[in-house]
Amino acid sequence: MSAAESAHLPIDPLAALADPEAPLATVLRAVREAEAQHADLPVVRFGLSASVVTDLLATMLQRRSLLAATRADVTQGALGAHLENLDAFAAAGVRHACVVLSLDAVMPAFEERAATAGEPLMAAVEQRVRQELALIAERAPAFATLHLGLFHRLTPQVCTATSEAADRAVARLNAVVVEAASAPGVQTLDVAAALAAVGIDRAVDNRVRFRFGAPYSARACDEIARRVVGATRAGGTYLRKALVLDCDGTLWGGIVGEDGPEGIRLDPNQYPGSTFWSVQHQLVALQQQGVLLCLASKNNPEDVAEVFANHPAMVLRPEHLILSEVGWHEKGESIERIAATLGIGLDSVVFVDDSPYELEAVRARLPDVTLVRVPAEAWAWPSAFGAVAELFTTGRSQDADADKTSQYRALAAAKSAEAGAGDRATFLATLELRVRLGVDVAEQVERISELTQKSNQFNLTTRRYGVGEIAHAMADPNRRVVSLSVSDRFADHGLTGVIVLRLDAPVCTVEAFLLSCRVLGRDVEMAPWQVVCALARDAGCSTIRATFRPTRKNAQVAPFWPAVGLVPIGDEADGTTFEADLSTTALCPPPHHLEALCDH
Amino acid sequence: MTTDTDLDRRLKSTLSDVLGIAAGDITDETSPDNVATWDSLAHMNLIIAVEEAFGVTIPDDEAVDLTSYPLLRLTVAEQLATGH
Repeated sequence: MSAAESAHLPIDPLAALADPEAPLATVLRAVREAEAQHADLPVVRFGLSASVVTDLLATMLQRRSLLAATRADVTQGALGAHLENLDAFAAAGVRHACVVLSLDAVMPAFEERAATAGEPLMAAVEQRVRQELALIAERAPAFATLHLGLFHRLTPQVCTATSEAADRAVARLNAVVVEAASAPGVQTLDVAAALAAVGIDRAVDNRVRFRFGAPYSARACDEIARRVVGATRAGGTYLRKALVLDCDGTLWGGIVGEDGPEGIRLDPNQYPGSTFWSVQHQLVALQQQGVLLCLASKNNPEDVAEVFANHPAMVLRPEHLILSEVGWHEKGESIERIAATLGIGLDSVVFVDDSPYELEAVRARLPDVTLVRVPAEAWAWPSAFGAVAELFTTGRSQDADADKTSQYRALAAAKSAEAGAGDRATFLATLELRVRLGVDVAEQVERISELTQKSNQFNLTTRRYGVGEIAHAMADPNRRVVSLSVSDRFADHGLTGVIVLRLDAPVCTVEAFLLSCRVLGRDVEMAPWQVVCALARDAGCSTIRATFRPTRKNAQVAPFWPAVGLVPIGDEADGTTFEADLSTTALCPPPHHLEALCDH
Repeated sequence: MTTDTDLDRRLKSTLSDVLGIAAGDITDETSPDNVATWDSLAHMNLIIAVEEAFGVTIPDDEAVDLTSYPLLRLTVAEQLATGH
């Protein structure tokens, strides 16, 4: 080995990527090595369209994706050619498109000229931006998400007239961006916040900006990439649903079992109570966005119940919680029970505690749960909570998602009804289940796409569809998109199932069938097949064909197609295909305990 | 063949990281002409990475002209010397 090589010490690439202080050379090498070492990670395809040079942003998307256990395949578009780039991305199968807008591309030296440009010029600039953004937003349905960067300053100054004029001009253009981002599938990307988080002096390298047209430093690119990968939930590979909270030291200061319900620290006007009070407000905001809040606390249940019901300073109240596990058992056990009752995977759970001991015990028992430690100093907790909120970043969600707490509460109630109802048939009969089937209902496009992105456990082919793909399938005369909307006497569960059919007579192929886990265990999956057969026969099909593609999460549906009445006809590399002859075989009828209605 | 100095070792290691080539393959002949990955964007990363690794600032006028390993080494050595 030569002297030069001995200077090249081996590194742990993932550790190097996680180190925010790692030099650029190390990051570039670590990305290469980590991608080679982890070639089996799922690939998420990004397209990057910018008006400035953003090659380092592509590198950092690779870095942040690796840290989220995925591999980014980034396609760089041509400089400033957003519309052409987006069309090319769509044709190439990109799932997440990022458009980074820049002021200088709108008008050179924008920040310096805003003060003197005059209203007619600014109005013309605004008009041109509006037109281009409308065309950009039109292209969103081709992607799972289109991240649209907000305009942002590169040289903010303090209180000069020029700087204030630039701020006003940026705000004016950003109003146009926000307007464009109200289109389905578009999310804004707050580049200014990313630059501010890094510190503007470290975020913008003016030399590289002017000489190479690349304004963002490596560190700024990393922060932008972190936000993009977070907002895509690592390209849709995870979705966190439940936030399990410790009580003492997490929701309030002090220990309720020792200090008594009156003795805990939660006074909004006094430190440290004020910090917990602020965190509770943030928790309620998360709950209202659809995050499921649960407790896992080692305490006497009466003490905690007393605080939640009667403490005057509590912001969180019992109605914000969906499940409470308060007692003296292991917290890992509590979390398992919570996940089982809600019917969600452990990787959908985030657990927050101030005790490193408790966190370590949960980590050892349930490695899939995401852990967050409350900072030791109370003053650090309200701002650190931002990291918790980021874990639940979701795209804009429609339909019933915002009312998730009441739906899952209904599920929990139904589970306890099940426990008390003796045999299963009796229980199911008391639920008064109704399944409404919709065929090619245009208003459901977004919700259907969202469900195909999120459902993992009851999903026969785990095929993900973008909004545009679903709209396209609905418009195609040879395809049908069937939705299942489920309700029972406890709640309206909303649109919770999807079937995508391809009708190439004489064969009807089931491209996708999936159900949300919140309606599992009620035989809802058996409800639609008579209707599917009718759709197939109407299109001249005499055979129905379907596939089961195993993944890490969908083992429970392996026996599904035979249960409906299909027989296996062959194994391929990625799954098993099943078939039934519709002229001789009757597929499973809807079970007696539910009513299946078709809107078609 | 000359023996690599400490400066050579560190500089070759940085080039190797940025350009994805083996440090042992870097010689006085190494330039964008014979390293496929050494394009203009890699050059920008290389300048930033070298500045970061050595704590020097490469003058703007020179940055674009450092198109071979010896030129790069010479400039870094100069900057290290004047920095003292």
